[in-house]
Amino acid sequence: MSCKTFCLSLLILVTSYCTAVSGAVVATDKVLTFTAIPDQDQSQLRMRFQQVADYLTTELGVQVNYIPVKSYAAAIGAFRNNQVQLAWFGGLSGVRARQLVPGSRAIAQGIEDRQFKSYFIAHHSTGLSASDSFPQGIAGKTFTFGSKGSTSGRLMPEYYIREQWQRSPQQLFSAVGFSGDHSLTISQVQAGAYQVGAVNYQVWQSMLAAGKIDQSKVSVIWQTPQYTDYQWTIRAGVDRDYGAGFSDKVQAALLQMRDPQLLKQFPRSGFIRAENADYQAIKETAIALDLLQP
Amino acid sequence: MLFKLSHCSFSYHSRLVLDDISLGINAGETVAIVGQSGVGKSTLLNLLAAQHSDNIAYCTQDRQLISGLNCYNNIYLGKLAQFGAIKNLLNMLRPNVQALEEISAIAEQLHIADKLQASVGKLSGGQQQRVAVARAFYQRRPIFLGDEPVANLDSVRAQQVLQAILQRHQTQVIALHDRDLALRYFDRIIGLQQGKIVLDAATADVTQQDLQQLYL
Amino acid sequence: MNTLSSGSSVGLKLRNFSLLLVAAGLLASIFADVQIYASEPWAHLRIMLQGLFSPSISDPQQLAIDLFYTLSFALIGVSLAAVAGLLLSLLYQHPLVRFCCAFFRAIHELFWALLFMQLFGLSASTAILAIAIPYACTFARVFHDIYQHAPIKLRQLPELADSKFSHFLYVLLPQVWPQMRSYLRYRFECGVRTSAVLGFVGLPTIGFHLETAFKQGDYSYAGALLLAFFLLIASIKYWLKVYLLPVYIGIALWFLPGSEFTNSSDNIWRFFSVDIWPAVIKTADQSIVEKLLAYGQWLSSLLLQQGLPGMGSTLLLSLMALAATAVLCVLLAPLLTLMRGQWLVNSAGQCLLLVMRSTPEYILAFVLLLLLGPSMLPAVIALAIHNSGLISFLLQRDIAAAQTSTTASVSFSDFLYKVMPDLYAKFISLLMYRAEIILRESAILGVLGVTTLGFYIDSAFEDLRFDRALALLFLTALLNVVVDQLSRKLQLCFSDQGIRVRSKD
Repeated sequence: MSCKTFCLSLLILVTSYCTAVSGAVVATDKVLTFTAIPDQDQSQLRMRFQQVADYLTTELGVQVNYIPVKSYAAAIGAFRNNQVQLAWFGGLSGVRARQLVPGSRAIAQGIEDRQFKSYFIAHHSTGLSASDSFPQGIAGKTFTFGSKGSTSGRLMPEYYIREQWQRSPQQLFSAVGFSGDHSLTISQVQAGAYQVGAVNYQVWQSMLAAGKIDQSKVSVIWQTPQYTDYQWTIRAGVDRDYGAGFSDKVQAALLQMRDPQLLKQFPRSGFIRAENADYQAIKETAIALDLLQP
Repeated sequence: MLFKLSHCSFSYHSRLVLDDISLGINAGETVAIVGQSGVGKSTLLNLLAAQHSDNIAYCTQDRQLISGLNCYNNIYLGKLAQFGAIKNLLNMLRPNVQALEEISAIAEQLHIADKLQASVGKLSGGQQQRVAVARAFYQRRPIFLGDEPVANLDSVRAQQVLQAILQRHQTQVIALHDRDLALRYFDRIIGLQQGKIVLDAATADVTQQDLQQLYL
Repeated sequence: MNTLSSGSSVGLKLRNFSLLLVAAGLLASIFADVQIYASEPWAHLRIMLQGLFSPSISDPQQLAIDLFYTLSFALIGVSLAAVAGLLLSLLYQHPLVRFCCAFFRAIHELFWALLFMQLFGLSASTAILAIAIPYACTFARVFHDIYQHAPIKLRQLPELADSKFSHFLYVLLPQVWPQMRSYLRYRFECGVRTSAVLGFVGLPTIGFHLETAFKQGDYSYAGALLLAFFLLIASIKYWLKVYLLPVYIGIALWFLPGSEFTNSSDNIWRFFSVDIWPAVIKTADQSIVEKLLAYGQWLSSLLLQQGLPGMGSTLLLSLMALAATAVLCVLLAPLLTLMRGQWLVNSAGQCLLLVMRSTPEYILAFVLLLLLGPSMLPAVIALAIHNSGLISFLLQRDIAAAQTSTTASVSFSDFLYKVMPDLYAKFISLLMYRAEIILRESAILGVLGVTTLGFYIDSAFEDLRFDRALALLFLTALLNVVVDQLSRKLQLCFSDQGIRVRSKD
């Protein structure tokens, strides 16, 4: 009897699986796969980037697929193992990926990425308010970064904290957490679970626009100086695998992206040319914080 | 001399079970060990068993049947060590023809042929006892050591089984509590009391009266 | 009175042992950070609870696939582990096998997954191996323990000692099969849980979307996923039959997700030749001695910066979690036993246990973080809830088995005088067994900023520093072996035979 019910449920599972599989496109030609770091709104990743994949498919004349990953490290791993040939990386993850696959190039960055910054945000109970100088009052509070491998949620905030006090965050704060992504940092500081947090300013602004932030609970208290962040990185060897000049073609397609609907997914107002040297400062910072081997 | 113990004592949990035992048994003898329960019969048999483990079929009191196996495999266990691992594995899946034939014959003699496929857990005490005896038979050893091998059987069955034991082995040393059986089937009777041998004589020289003494 | 408390009965020793455990936990809490940070979680909690209790799902097909993969990975992983564990358990007397098993057991499935991900990418083999390896080592030990308790040894057939395999097949296996079967069933449930948790690192199981849903605050979806997961676990006992296993495994194998990941041999070579070695020994013009020296230096600085602090907080956290688990179990056990009488209340109790043991600790920690702020406290409570749920479940099963003949309802005095004396030794042994697990599980609570060894290992993987990850994993495993040995020695001090349900490893 119980066996019967199981078989029935199994049948349902199997049929649903089959429909799922048959729905997928079976590509026989060369496929370019890209990924993006899961920095925010992970449940929407596929929806967000599928549109980008469709755009690139038409522009490049090659089937372009998007695969979602769970962590920054997984994005870098997929890039390194040639599971993806193109990736939308953060500053630090891009530097790491290009170090692991020599010959890979940063080809495009958002217009905003030239002047990227992080916000330090605080729960209202701390009594901290916005200031132009580094907020000295955050010492001794509980503090959360974003993902361990994030540029705006970890690397640059930690760099400025260390620069200010010459001490590690663990020594400075009463507790240091890693929320995992920027939206989570905001909601945890908003709930007061952590008193202070560091967050990508773009994510803050888009969540603010979406009405997800209660500014009586959480507010920006400081913004870091500007640095260079996100970029598209293309893997070494694509010109060999997809035909000469392919990476330039990808670069051109990215730079020509004008559709606001597409650009909103990043969210950027447009893409401009980038090169590896733009990220030298990030690289040196990462080495200084022992987040990268020289 | 087949078995020899001289001035042998044995303690279990600091209780003296066997006290200064000296004893010799020759090949071909049929010996009954009698005495009250707890008097050291099983311990004595264990000591004897250790002397000739290669030539002995030993049927212990607790039967040592594996409840998850059927009767056939429980009997087959007797020769397990003589066969290779592969043969044993195959036998587990499907009885080996030769072994089945041999075991069937033994089971026939002990009147358990119809139970071979049954799980031993489902058998009565008397049937289980005969399975244990059958395992000893299947070993085909010249010496049989038995610890109350017929205790749970009615007297007709007990005599049948005992006769089968005597017929199949050259030497037998069997612990018994049934005095009639001891007097009727054995050449020699050893009586134990409080860990000591108090009687060791040819059956012809032993009377019911002598045995009665042991149980006082 | 005095004689009572200074006696040497097994019961008293067990009591002293449990008191010692709790005292150690309290002592640890003095040194550890267990502060409560006042927060304003209520608005967020309300949203969360509303969502969790109004489960909704937009994509049932995706959920079905997730559940199917979760089951498939668990089924194949546990089956492989059972076979390997069976073989290993036959060799378990060998010190090397014993050591290796303790060593590999010590590494959390998530870390196995992260390791294999470097070799096989996000593929089914990663998930299956991540389950199979630690489980095989656990099976080896538990099966070995079970063999030790086989009642019949067949001493009258001494020659059997030489033919080990036949002895196993004909003597051991038939005797202990019922126990092994029930353990397999329990382990399969654990496997499903593990398989779900593997989703946290990106494998396509239910944990993948569960973690995302929690991170994104999509609590209705999270509620639906959790509910589906609980139902899946609750239903296992109805359909998991040994004779149907081949069918299930066949189906699972046939429908495993494919992977486009092909160049794995290159990856494996690169991983072992390059990735796991620190840069300091990769310069070409070094002699072997120089390399060794450099490696030693690198290792000692790693130990000083991360290893020792990590070890310290891991131990503190584990001690506190163990004590909290013990206390929670002692509270739960009589309650649940008293509830056995009434059908409805009893079912509610069983559901509570199911929820307690099946909710991933990560999720519990996440909720508790909102309430209590970041410290070891949420971690301790999360671990205690999960483990006491598990131990109570296992104890309840034993109580049920012992009680089939007697009346269903149990009074409190019945519990004190009849149930507890039989059960307490078993409880302590389960608790000590879970101690090892608590040590491992402390690893996945990095979101709380508790710097356990697991936190540093996770950071190393996140930073793609496999050299560090491997060295720290090695350290974790060694720590586990040492703690395991110590806890066994300690148990022996407190009991002659009472607690020793475990074998002599």
